[in-house]
Amino acid sequence: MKNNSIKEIVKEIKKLATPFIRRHTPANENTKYSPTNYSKFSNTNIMAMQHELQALGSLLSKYPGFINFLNKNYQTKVAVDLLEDVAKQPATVFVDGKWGNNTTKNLAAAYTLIYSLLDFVDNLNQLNVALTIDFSDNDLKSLQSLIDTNIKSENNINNKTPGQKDELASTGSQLLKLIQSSLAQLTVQLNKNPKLNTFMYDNDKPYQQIKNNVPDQNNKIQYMIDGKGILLNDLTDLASLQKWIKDNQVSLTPEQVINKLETDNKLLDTTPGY
Amino acid sequence: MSFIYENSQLLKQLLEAASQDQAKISRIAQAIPDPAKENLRSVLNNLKSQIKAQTEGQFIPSQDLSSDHFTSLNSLLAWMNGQGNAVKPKDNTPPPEGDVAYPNDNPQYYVNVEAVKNYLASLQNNAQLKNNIKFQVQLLKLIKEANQELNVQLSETPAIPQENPILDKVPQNIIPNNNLGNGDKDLTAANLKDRLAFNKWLSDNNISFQNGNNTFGKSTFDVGNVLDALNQRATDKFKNATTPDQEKSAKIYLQALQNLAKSINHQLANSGSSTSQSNNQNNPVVLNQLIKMTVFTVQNIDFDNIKLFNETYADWRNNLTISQMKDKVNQDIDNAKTMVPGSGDIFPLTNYDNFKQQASLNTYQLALTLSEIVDYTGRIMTDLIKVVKTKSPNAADYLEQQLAGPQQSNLRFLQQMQNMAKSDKN
Repeated sequence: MKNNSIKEIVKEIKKLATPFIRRHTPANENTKYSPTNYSKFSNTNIMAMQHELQALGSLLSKYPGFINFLNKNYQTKVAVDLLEDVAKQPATVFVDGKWGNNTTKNLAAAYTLIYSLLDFVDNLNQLNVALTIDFSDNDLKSLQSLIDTNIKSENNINNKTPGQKDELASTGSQLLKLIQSSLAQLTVQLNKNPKLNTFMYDNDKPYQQIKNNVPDQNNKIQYMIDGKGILLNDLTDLASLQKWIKDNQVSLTPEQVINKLETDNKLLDTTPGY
Repeated sequence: MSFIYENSQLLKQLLEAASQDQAKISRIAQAIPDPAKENLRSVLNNLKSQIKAQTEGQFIPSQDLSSDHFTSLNSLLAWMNGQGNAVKPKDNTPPPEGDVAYPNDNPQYYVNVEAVKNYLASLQNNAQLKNNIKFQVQLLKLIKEANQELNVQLSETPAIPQENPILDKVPQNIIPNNNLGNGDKDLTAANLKDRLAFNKWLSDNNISFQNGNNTFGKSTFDVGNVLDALNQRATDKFKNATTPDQEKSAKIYLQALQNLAKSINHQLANSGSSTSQSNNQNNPVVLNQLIKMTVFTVQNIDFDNIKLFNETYADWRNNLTISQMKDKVNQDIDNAKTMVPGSGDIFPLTNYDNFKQQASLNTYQLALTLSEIVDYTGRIMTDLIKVVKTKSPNAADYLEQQLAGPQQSNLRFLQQMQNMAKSDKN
């Protein structure tokens, strides 16, 4: 995966996230459902890494408000859903000590998540808000090297020896632990700061309220344009007026409707006592 | 009042004035607005301003603006679409002059770039939204995306002003041990941000340093000595603070000095050492050091750091329970070292195989012992956090982060090791 843009990563995850067909998947070391090969390829370091993936998935559910914000603004939804799903699987199913597509797919999800967290921290730093997490850009590169999905690349996990896999899994575990602690570290900082804890909750109010609905009692008066009745609610904004014109097949422009209403209702005479 | 009748001219004037006044009252009564007409006038004026803005290429929203409209450029354009002419659905006609088709690969809208730019700029300057940090993050992201996708060429300059309080008023000639003598040279956190900023402050203010009878100028004094003297002033400010604001400011001052000293490889002279040797209790410098200490990390358990933290705090706290917990941790550390002969003071938490290899005899017991060390140290830290919070709510943030992050991670790892060791036995 040469291009590390978030869109590319999401695309890769979606590609990888195609469902497994349990009974018809050929048995090989990349298949989690291959009991015959279990003892041959199962590896404790890979198991530990898979445990960390599950732990990361569980951790996400602790911060629903913040994760929802990330999902909406940093395109993490696919990744978060994957990790949360894997956390719900029994350890006996997911933690099989074999590094196949399913494991790579979840590592890519972890990558998307931490990439977005770093982006979020960067954005806040740019706004002069001091936030830090332990996960570094170098850690991000190390994690990226574990999820090469190009089957022909020598970095692809399928082209690694069991010894190399062992070593990589150990690195993977460390990085996943660091993601978990960084997420916790970040949420503590958000929670503590009254200006920032808004990120932790889904209590969105509109930033700006524009449209003031006309109170019912004022909306009872019907004005007439070309024999068609128009209410104040049809005049609260241009889009509503255009809709009224279209619905009533009135052959006037919005400006003409306004002029007519002003003239008919003597609104243009501003001298007192008219 | 008989003089009125004696002056017929005055009487006439009064009557005229009264009649004019009556006319005024009458006109005011007639001018009371008809509510229905006023409502109509108000909505029509609003419509006229929308049409005017539209013809001038401005975007004026007619729908509520919420966070969902600001998640991406696409969502913003979808929201703007149908509200005026700034964004219109793409049709088979060529785009109007000044508009661009967006997105490039599969255009859905004709976008008036100037209108989008003006609207985003108006939001950047919106005073009501200036302190809404969630909005500011979304806006910053949007501007980045709009710069990239629509080339709106908007500045990403932060809208939130950086807080830069004055930490000290320093005399032009700094004399060590003359701690609270105030001067007229304002020193802010920004001046202590890094070596360059500090050097600039020293030069701009022509600061000198007095050592005994000798006075040194900027080019001859050792910056480390100046930092030591300022550190002494900051420590005294902390000790003598009488309000939470003063205490907070002194802490920022101490922290900024420490960061700067670290960046130039200077070890600050410990101004509290004279009292900390015999009795640490109530010495704020000890607490100040403890709250900045890194006790837990994800990658390993550092026995030395844990011991130093626990012993220093237990000494300061002078509390039986804390002392007992400290003793328990020390005993566990000794036990762990016995279980892993030849191990150093840093125990790596890498993976199960390494862990098992190091444990050699009893993996489960080692994981349990290490868990106790991490757990009890966490409790001691929690006590310290409680104490610090009564004085300043945010001072223990760093420790709280360690408890939420690395300490929890250590505990989870050790729990995993225990589980795996159990299943190994089975």
